[in-house]
Amino acid sequence: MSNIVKTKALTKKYHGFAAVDGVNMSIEKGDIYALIGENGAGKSTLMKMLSGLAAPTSGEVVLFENKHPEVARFRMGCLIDSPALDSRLTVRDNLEMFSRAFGCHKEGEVDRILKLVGMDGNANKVIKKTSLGMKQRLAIGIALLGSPDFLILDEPMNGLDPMGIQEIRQLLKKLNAENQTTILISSHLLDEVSKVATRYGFMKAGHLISELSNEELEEKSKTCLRLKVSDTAKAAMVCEKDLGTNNYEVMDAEYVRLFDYVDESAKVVTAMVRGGVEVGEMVRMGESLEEFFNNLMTAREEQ
Amino acid sequence: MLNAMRASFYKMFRDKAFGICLAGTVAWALVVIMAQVLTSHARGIEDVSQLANRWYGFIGLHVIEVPLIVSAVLLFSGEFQDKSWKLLIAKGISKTSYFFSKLVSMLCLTVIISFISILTLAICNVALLHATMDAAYVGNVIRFFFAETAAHFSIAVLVITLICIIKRGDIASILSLFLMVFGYVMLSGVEKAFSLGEVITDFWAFSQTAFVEFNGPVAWGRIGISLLGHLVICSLLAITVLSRKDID
Repeated sequence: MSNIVKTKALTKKYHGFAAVDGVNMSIEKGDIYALIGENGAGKSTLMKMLSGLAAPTSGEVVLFENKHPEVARFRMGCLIDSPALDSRLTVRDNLEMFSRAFGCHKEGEVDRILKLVGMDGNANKVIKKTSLGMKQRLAIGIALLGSPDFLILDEPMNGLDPMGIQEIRQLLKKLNAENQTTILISSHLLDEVSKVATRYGFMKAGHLISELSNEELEEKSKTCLRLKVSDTAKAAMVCEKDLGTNNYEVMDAEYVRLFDYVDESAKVVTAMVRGGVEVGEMVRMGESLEEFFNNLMTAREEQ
Repeated sequence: MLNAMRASFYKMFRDKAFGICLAGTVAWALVVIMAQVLTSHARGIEDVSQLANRWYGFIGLHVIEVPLIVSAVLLFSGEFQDKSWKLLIAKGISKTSYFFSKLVSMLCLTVIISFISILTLAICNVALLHATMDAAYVGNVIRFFFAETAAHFSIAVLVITLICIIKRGDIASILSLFLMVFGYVMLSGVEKAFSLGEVITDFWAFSQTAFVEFNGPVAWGRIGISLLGHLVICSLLAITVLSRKDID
């Protein structure tokens, strides 16, 4: 089985408003899939439909290649919205209770989870007296009970300090590497997400507008020289004949991106001028995930 | 459903509120019995031992219902308010299974509250009202315990259904207490308006305790039909409401 999640035209409407609109999404086994979007893009709603907390208005969800997702959900662990914990019980008691509810209670399981999420020193603290970061760690721990095959984590880094973010990031990578745990994660911390994700899904206004692998994203956002030229056709010829590279992209009537000679801008300008091409502007560019995301959202708005 | 029940029991017995509920049950029973003793003179009862077997006087003061409603709200409404129940649903436990696990937990709570309450009353009867502690008395107390517990099952079903539907402990408790006090009157009004006799009020949850006497017959059939009716109606209602709504 290689397909963990497959959605087909998945839609959720609230009083006629489409919070999620016709999403076709696929997550393969072993992926760390980052779902990225602005506030209100539909990420949480999509995650709720995958975890059974919201019923789709239309469309289909297939989990673990099973068209009856409710049967497969015992293999999942979820953290949706804010941590949902019993505030009168202790950290340990919450884990004990949920381990029984999930049918995975066994000797040592709670201690294993406490250690995994760094809460072993706070096991006997009542939830009411814990910080947001501790609650978040515990919520992640509850999602990890029973070693699920698929994790859905909605903003898991919320409330964590930098050390905590690093620990959780390393934990997710470890789970993915050692157990082939598939992970769907949403986060506003794009830089953090880019350090763990292997695939990205970009959402805007309920639509999944783009899906890219890590390699594809790197390809699209890699460092280049962007030139504003008087003649893009001539500029292309200069790149191929004089600079000896076809690693360039003509963007439109005025702009060309050159992915080689990034640190040799003088050489590029000289070659262009000799080839009869006027260079009006030259900028070194390299999109981070955040820049790529912002440009993608802007381009979508303009459409 | 078994797993959800195990979790429910684990939580119930670990929650500090459970101890408070039991202490409250004892305290309420003591208040009720002391009220009987202290008002005996005003009611023309000079010898308090006459009150010893007037258990209808204790039950009529809701000695089990009030602690049951308060305990249920304290122990079960929190899961909806802190939304921890969504983790069980996300793990594949159906809303139907979840509701029935709460129902079973509630019925167990009814047994515990009834036992504590009746035990307190039985001891106070002997200690304060000079009831004779003989085999007949003990036999009556045991029989009374089973009968009253069964009579209160319908109330338990109604209360847990309200908690599951409303999902707010404060509103569920107010509504439960309102139904306890005014439910009979309202239903009686409906019966009179539609000339239904006593077909509704006879089987109303809060009426069942009237069919239990301490040293007299128990209307087991009526109690059973009331329980079955409440189970069917409340379960259908709760499952319909829970199933139709998304979990935020």
